[in-house]
Amino acid sequence: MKKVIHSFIVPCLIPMLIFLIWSVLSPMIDNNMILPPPHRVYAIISDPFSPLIAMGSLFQNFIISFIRVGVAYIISGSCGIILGIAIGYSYRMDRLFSGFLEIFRPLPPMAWVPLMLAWTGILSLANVLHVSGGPLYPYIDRIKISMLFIIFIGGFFPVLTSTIRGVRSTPKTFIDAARVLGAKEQDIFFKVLLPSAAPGIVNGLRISLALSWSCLIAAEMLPGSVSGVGYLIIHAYNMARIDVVISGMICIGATGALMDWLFHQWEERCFAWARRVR
Amino acid sequence: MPKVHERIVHLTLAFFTPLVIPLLSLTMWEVFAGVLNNPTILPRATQVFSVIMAPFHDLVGFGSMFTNLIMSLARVFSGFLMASAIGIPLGIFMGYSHNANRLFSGTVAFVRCIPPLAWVPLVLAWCGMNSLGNILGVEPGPYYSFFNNIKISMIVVIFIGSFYPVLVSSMHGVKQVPKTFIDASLVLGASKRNIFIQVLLPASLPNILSGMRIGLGVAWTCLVSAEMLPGTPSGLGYLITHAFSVGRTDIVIAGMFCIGLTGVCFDCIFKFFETQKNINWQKDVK
Repeated sequence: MKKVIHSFIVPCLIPMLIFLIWSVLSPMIDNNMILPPPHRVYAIISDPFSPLIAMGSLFQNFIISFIRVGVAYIISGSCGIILGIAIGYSYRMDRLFSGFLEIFRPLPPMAWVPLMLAWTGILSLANVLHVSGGPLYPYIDRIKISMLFIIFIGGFFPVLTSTIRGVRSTPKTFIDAARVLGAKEQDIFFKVLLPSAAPGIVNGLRISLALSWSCLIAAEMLPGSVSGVGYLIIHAYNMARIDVVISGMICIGATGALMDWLFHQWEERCFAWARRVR
Repeated sequence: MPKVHERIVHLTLAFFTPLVIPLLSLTMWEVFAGVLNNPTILPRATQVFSVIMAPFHDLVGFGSMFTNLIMSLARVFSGFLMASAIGIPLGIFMGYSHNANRLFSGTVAFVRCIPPLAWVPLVLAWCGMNSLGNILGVEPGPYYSFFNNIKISMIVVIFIGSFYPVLVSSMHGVKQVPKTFIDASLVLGASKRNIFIQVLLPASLPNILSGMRIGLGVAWTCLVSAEMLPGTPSGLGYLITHAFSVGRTDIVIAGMFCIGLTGVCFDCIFKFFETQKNINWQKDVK
């Protein structure tokens, strides 16, 4: 019984307290523009397919945000892994690229926004891929290049750093042992270096996914974007629909948590050996 | 002596390879800028350089680079100090007591998943245009415009951004203190207070400091994005967005440079403290 109290009831105390304060305060303030009652927020979350203030439903906006994050994340992940392996593996590549890339690391992704807008303007993926119609057009057209670049910058550096670290942390004994047993350079790369670096790389990918998600929200909140969850909440704020703002925030947080959890599960399943070795 | 010769070649190569790509990019920049001949898209590097070299010069009527930097720094530090003031004690408490950890960790874990910038609309709805000037009741005068520019909403966003790194690393720092240290001092007759001040705090200090370093980095990132949103009349983030809207890309790039450099400075200051011997005493022990 004591165990149940400790592990289930204690963690729920604070959320319950917040909920209680919220339900007490909102009738007292009685102003939907400051604090709407919880049931209005719940009504919006429980009905994700109905359109909100003429900017699509919660679900639609999420799909658009997902596509944006997905495209940029795949690009930043593959660039980060490839460059990271090259830099971690070869001393020459390290000398060549590291200094240059370090210049850009301290720049917050959002600081790129004005420059990217000046360069790519409102160019979208549809313009680049020459899609100009069809059912997918509205989706592809909303993926602006500037936004992709910002998410890319946000997700790129964590992957790069952890890939380099993963490759470098391969014990020299593994490589020497493989070499003694007659492995070719290619075998060493694919069968020793890569598997040993994999847990580090996956960890970097996980951090990068969380960062990409938060960069996306920030990028969507800037003027010029017309869809996505970030846009949804800032637009709802302009329309004084705080209930939509709060439900949007809850969904953003839940999505971030869910993505992280799924990633973590996968990591646990595939790379549990890394923890056992240490 | 071919060996010496080889070494010289090797050393020069080692010295010059890191410079290849930056130099190549600079040359390409100059060439492209000349070809495009459109300073709105790509200004010349010399133009950007002259903006950076004159930090006290007024830029397009919204203050100099320096005044905007001071404004941003004031905002960042007010948010960051608040986050440290709450995050460090709470983190230590959560690391120290199992029950406190159970009580807070679930909530913290969920709220942490909401990106700091996603709080902006809600915080704006709650704090509106209230500034530090209003709250502190600063009299109209030379200081008023300074304090009035530090909006509460912005401080809250920065606070949220830097709070979690500080909290989590303080918690880990305290948790990582070896049980032997505590037991040993208990055996030697230390009181709870002694243990806390003389064992727990020094042992977790390196972790707390690195959490503060990460927190300040996140705070800086959040600030720049918070300043880019509508409603701000100053700061580096505002400077670059505004410079973009009036087509002064040279100021945009100079501002980006300044933002990056400030971030590096923050990092260096904290790294300096982290490597001091009396703070990072564990380095010698291990």
